[in-house]
Amino acid sequence: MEDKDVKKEEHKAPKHGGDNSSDPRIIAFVCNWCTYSGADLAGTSRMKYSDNVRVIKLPCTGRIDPLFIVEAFKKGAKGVLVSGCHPGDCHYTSGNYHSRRKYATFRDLLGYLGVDLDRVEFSWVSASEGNKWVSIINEFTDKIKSLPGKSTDIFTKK
Amino acid sequence: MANTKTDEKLQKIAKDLLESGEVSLVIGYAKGSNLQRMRPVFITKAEDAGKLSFSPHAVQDLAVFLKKPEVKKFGKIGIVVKGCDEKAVNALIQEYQISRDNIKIIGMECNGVIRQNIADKGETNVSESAVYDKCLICEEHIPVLYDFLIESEEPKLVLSGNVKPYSGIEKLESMSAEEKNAFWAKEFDKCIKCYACRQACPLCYCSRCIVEKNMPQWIDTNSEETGNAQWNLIRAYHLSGRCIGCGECERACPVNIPLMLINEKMAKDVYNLFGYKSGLDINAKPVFGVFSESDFNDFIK
Amino acid sequence: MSRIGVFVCWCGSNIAGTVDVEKVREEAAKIPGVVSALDYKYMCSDPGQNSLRNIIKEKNLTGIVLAACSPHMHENTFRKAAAKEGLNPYFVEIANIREQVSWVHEDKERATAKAVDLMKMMVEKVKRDRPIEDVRVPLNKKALVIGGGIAGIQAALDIANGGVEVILVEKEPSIGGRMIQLDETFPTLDCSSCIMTPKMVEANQHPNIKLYTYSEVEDISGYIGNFKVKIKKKARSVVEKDCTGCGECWNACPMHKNVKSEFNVNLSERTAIYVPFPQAVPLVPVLDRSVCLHFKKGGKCQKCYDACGPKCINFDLQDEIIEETVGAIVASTGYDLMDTSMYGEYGYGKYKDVISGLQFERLLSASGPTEGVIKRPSDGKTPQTIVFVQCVGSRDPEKGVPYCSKVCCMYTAKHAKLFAHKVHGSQSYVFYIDIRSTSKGYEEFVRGTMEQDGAIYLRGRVSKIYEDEGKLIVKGADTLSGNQVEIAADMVVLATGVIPKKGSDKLAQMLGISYDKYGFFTESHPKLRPAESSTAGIFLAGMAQGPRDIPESVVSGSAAASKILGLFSKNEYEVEGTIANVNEATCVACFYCQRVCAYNAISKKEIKDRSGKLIKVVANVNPGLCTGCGACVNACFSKSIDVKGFMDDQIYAEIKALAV
Repeated sequence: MEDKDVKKEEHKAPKHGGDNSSDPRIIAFVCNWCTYSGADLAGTSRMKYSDNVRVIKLPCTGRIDPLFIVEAFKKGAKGVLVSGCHPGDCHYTSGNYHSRRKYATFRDLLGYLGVDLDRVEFSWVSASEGNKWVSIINEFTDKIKSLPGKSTDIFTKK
Repeated sequence: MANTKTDEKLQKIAKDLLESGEVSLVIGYAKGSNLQRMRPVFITKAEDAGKLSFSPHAVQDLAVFLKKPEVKKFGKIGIVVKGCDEKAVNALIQEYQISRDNIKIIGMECNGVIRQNIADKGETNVSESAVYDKCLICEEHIPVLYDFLIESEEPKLVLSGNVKPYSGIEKLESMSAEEKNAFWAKEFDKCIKCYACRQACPLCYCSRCIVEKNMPQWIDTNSEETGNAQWNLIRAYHLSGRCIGCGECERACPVNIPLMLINEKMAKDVYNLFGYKSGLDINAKPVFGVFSESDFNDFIK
Repeated sequence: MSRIGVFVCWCGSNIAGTVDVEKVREEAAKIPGVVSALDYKYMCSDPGQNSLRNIIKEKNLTGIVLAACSPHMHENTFRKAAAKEGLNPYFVEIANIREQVSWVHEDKERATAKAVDLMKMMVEKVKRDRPIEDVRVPLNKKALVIGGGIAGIQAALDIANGGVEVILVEKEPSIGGRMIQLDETFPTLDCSSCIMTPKMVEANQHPNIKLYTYSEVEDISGYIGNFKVKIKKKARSVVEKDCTGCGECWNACPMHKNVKSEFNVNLSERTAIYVPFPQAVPLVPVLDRSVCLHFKKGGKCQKCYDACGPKCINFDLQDEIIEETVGAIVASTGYDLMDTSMYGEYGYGKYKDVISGLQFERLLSASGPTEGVIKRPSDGKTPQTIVFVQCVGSRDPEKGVPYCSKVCCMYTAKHAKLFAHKVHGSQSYVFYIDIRSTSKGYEEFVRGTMEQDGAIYLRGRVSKIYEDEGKLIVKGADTLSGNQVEIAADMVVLATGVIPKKGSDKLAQMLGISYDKYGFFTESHPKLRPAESSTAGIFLAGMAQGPRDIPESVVSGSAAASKILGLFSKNEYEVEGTIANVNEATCVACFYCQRVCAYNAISKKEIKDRSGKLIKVVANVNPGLCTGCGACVNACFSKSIDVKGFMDDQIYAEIKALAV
């Protein structure tokens, strides 16, 4: 315990930078049709999950630009989740397929430039998967909380 | 210096093209005032074709000029290209920036171009240690597409395997996130946001670059580390699956950021993920214009 | 300057129990640009909506944010309320503090903090909302039906009876499709021609239906309400309006033994000038130039011309391109059967008496090559023993297709039944994997074939068929008894799998509709929009969508028709205004947007100066086709395209509102 406190001292949680380890900000970019509805379903089913997440709704994963992830980091998010319809289920036929290609590439690039890839999560959550939404959020939040305080990136002001 | 046979062939082709009116402009190389450097030349009259020349000092990717409005207005254009540069022409055709009908490709067989810092010291021979890394991995010594091909008089590039091109990539890949972070933080710290990388790139053809858009401000305008990192990330992202590896961005960078370590890494990853290499086929659909239902999905929960 | 109103809903205790709604309201009031903030027990109730409307008026609001339940619940309710006060309905944003806050979190302080965040995000978003007008697309009230089988005919008749003009295009010389090739239909055994011919005649004579047979759709452009269609009317060599269908021409044709009849599935011959079958509609022959002596031998033969009374044969007729404009399209191109010859072990194509189910239909048909007497193609003898093999190609992922062709169980039962009725004392065997007989009267029908008509059903696959002393020896497994069986048959009928009509993938590409990996057209939603394609204004019917039987095909034809009549009941088609928009000044025409658009909504637009000189080419969004998904925005490097309602600067503002 004491050790940990010392560490925290060392890395003084800055105002910006998302080094808010114990209470990290998590931003989720989700599609309107599947994941947003899945998250609503978790609500109507009165499931409980971590309250660190803030959801930003977009029409489709096809609209979720990978650059949003970087912007979220810049604004202090410690973790970013991107979620949409399962392959084959896209409300707009192929938005998730097109984005999947971009995400795979962009994720590689982020990792190569030194972003801890544990901070970025991609998932497919359907409108019927309230329980999956809950476990994704809980597990991701736990993972983010367990990251070392200094895990940062080159996009965030120090 | 006298004309080589290569130069004569080149001049003849250009002269014929201009005389017949098949093109109204030929973009090529001319000897520079410094013999170890070649400079781009724009020939509009057949009688000027004699200025054209080619040698292992013809480093620049001339395809970069194809995006310029002042070049475009010539309509039909002839261009002198090495194998790497020619891939940029193909990518531009794939992305509808030029029409195949409007371009005459004068392809040069190339066994490598000599790094300028070495050339400046007087090196004139192509060798494993003298050429750019891109030449060591080159698979298009003869351009994949051309209207005219001029074979090289230079000896073939002999590879011993002792020089490992782009070895920095593997080194970086084996680093921890933290180490990579530190490496790039240091590199991008040097960036002065001059955008020479963009200007030198044949595939950065947007008339209004994303960095110039401020609603929203995609990239911080400050030249601090964060904005620099963002710029470099977005530049690399926008060229992923498109970059043909000519290396002009890195060569143009006044502060020597190893940009090709990013470009080549992304080219490698895109190839591993989707089996696509940029600029090899003018009829191929660009990798981010299509998808497959069975695309890599393992990173998605 | 923004004048935003924030309304925090308690939803009784649903929200207020977990979220400190007063705190949310107080925080809202502090935000620059927010001129009114209040909380109320039930915002969606009449008094709630009235107070919202009053405040819009009183404070002259430019945008409102509701911190309430999910937008999927009441976004429309509040948009309508706002619109009643003259506010653009898209200036309403919802912060979902019920489904995504109060119902899923327990710690009141933290839930309140989250609710405040979500509210702030929406305030920043609404500040950047631009007015959005819904798009109205005028409708050309005319429909095109592609494919004149039962599904297409049904669709055409229903649309025509609804008072709308229909153009019915059929590739073959006659309408009727596959159904007119069938003998009797399961499970009622009514004769196919008897029920189909009147429909064909009705379609031909209907004042609202324009029929193009021996014609193909050559090109389609445009969008819902305004499709431009090019139809190629192939040269028939017969002037339709003058022809009486008397038959003198084909009786005179010397080419009467050389050409296999497509209609009779190669079981008989036809002439070069021919009608595919006697009840053809229209009853006008077609001259097949690929085999006609006149065309092959330099114009010497003109026996048909000489025999023709009204002199309506014209060897010089050319293909004709007809252009039509329609508002909606039905794609009902039907199906083909798989090529059974790839099952070498079954000997199809090698042994004359191994035939397909469709060939057996022709043998059963009174108007078929044997006038309804079942005869072996090899020697014309009537078979006493027939083996029917089901699932040839279907449900066979290795060699054929993994899906079930749906109709084979039933038509095989019908074949066995009709065989028993026509040849007394005969015996049939049916090899099957499962029996699928799920519609009304189907199970009873199959049972009848087994129990009354004595067909022996063997569960298992056939491994080999070979000829031995005039018999076809069928070797197979009976998996229920565990025995190998060997049957000496006079004839074998293969129930071959159903595949989409050849060329349907090309048509789908032309139409811009999606299709599955087999080539069947894909529905917009497999359950809730089964009659719609992925492209607005294009509807689907019949087997082109996947295996189905006659009643289902009829239903799907009617469904497509009712969708079109519904669409045409208004003068304009209304599309939500949340669509993509191009910044023409910065677009560099790389057309990545076009590549990723699933709706063909992006086209090239040429910008010209006053003298007509081309200045530049840019991407252009067709509002009738765009669904606002935003894939194009993601594809654009220069950020020259954006989607209304989800603009990049709005997303950035939302992220900024969350800055820590």
